[in-house]
Amino acid sequence: MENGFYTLQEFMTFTKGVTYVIMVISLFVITGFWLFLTGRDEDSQPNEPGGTEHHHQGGGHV
Amino acid sequence: MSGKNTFTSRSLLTPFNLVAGLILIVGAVITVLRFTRGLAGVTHLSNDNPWGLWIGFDLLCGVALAAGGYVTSAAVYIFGMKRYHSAVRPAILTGFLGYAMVVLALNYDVGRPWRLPYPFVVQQGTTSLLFEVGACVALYLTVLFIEFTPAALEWLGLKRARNLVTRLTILLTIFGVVLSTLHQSSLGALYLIAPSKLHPLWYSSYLPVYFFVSSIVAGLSMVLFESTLAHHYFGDKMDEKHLRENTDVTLGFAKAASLTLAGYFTIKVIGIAMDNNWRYLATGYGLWFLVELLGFVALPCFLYAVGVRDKNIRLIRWTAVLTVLGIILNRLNVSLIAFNWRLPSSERYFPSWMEIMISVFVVTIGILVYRFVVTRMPVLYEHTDYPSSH
Amino acid sequence: MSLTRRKFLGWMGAAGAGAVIGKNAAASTTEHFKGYPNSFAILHDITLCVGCRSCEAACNKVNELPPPDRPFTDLSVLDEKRRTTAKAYTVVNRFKNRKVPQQPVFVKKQCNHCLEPACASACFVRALRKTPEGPVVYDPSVCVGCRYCMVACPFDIPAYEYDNALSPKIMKCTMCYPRILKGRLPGCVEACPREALTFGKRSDVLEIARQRIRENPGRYVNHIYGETEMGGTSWLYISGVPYKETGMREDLGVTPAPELTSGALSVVPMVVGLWPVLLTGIYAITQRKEKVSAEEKAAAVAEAVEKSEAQACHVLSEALDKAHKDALKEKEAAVHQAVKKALAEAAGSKAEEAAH
Repeated sequence: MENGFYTLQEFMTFTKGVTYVIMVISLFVITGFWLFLTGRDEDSQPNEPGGTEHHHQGGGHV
Repeated sequence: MSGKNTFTSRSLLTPFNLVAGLILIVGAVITVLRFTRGLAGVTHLSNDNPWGLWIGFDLLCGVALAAGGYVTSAAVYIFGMKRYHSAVRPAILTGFLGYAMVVLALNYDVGRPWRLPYPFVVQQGTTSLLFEVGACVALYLTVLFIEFTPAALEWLGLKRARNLVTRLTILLTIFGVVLSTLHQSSLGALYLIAPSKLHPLWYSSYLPVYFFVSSIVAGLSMVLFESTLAHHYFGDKMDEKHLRENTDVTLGFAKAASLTLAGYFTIKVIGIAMDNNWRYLATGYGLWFLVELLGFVALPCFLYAVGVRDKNIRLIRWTAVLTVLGIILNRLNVSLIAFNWRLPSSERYFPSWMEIMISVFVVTIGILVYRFVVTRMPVLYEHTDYPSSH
Repeated sequence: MSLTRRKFLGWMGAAGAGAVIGKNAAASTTEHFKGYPNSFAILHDITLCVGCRSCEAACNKVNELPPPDRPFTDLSVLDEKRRTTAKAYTVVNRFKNRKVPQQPVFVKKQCNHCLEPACASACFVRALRKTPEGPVVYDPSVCVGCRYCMVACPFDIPAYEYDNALSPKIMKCTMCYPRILKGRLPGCVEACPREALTFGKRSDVLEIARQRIRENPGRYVNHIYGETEMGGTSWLYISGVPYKETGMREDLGVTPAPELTSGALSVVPMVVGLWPVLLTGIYAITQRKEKVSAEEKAAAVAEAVEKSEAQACHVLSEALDKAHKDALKEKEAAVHQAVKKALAEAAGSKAEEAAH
């Protein structure tokens, strides 16, 4: 490990592992970022406290 | 058995219940055999054929045919096809039950089912596509469960919890589509590691794309097929809105399925060209490949189109059956029929009757749970307290 | 497990591990992983094998496998083609020799211990791994029993304990990893009476193989099986007859197994990263369309209301006007009549007065 990787298998195990961690983190971060992005939209539905995603489908149904 | 059902003034001893009961008893016996004698006692699996019917049918077909959940919820909530709203809950229910059945069947197939969480909690084999499939199926099963809870919560009268969950609809839908894209395609990608065993006509670096695109077709066709069955057996449970929207759903989904099948056909042909596999078409396997491609992809594509043009609901429903059979045929071809094609016929795999029985057993459990749910919860109709918002 | 934990911690501190990733990822596209240096390999010289099954017997003993159905001295088992099983990590098969028919060819079959093992690539719990010493080893303590390794293996080697109900294991040759660690030869190599098996550093063993081919022209096919097959293996073969006539596949290619799936795996994070963006975008467009159409609808309704209101106003004012006029007329008429009446009355009273 200290000298890098000797096999493709070892290399991929490591890089895919890091990628999986990034994927999980990104799912949370992107959701949060969307809230930040649309937080001041005038026409958006007021987000419920603790609501996860932007205006839910209720918007279209009222 | 789902026990008492709300088919009022009907005896429990219906032919359906008798057959289902018999299947459950036989299934229970085989279950005991499986966990006392091992796979050798109940299956025809061998060292050359490590994956049999339980993977080829229960896993591959089960997951593909449960695609209706993500396809329908994406169509309605993301693409804004509100006219199909009444199709969402039945599709999510069958999707959830489909995945639950897949996981149930896996418990029979793997050697030590209680270790199924090991890849996630003990040691992560991140280079394996099975790791990806496992992670996505586990997460998606959870997503489908949450997506379905509003119906159960309405039934139980838990208004606040139900409203909390419906607020997550879009998030869950997007999450569901991401997860479905990943594991539907990864099921095909499972076979990428074995180019030396799968027949070249079915092996392609496009396998994941084929599996994903055909899962959309499978999802649409299963919604059509299930709605036909539900109509027939649970028509009394459907409200006017559901019945009214049903024609719309049928025509719209048939159109989408026809178009997707056309795309699927195109990329399948491109796959042959990319690997220059034309010469195999003149062989026995080539003929079988053409049966699948022309009879179960091109033909349903055309029949759906005719059905849509003529507004022929009957034709569309039969085409849905044909398409579903085509998807099953494709998954069995990849996993069993064209797999290990080089082995002499004496070493090829054919499922034992007990393997088939377990598959039937698992499907029966699914049907019984479906019946239990739709006869009680607001799936095929809207709950009077929550109009037009599920 | 310590390696595992370190790797796991590595994931957790992805940012901290950035230096390591960066260094290797930058090189990954062009870097050719050559495998562990100083790893061991075994050369099987097929021309020397006489099919005595001594290796099978030794393997059985060293690995404490169950006794065979027929004793290892019984050479009639060679009449049929066999494969490795849960009870036999290695088997010897006999093949016809087309060049010299009276001299059949014997080939030993066992795990080839790939440099980039397909089984390890396929295992979702890393129960199989390539050791720096060469052997591909299996850890039954984490194995779930999914048998994907058996699907993946291009040489059809891993076997499974199908008759074990609750704790089935994958069974395959370990290249006698425990013995190698102790500095001893693998059981089969030690037992071979004909020195058809040669153990050593892979680089050295490869050199021996090349030398034999070079020094004995005509005796060997000019190809070392396992040098490049599936990215190379730690069992190498040299043969006097074409390999495909000895039940060995020549169509496996040189692509290491992990590379077969790396394309599909690399799409996964792209889907996770971009699908939510795409889907949310489509959702936003749908919502926007709906909003616009709702606004248009509202505007149309408002306009219609305005129009009808104006019309109503007009009608009303006309009606009022008319009513006003009517009222005036009525008033006039009434006044007129009243005046008339008054006049008539006055005239009447005048006439009455005149009559009196």
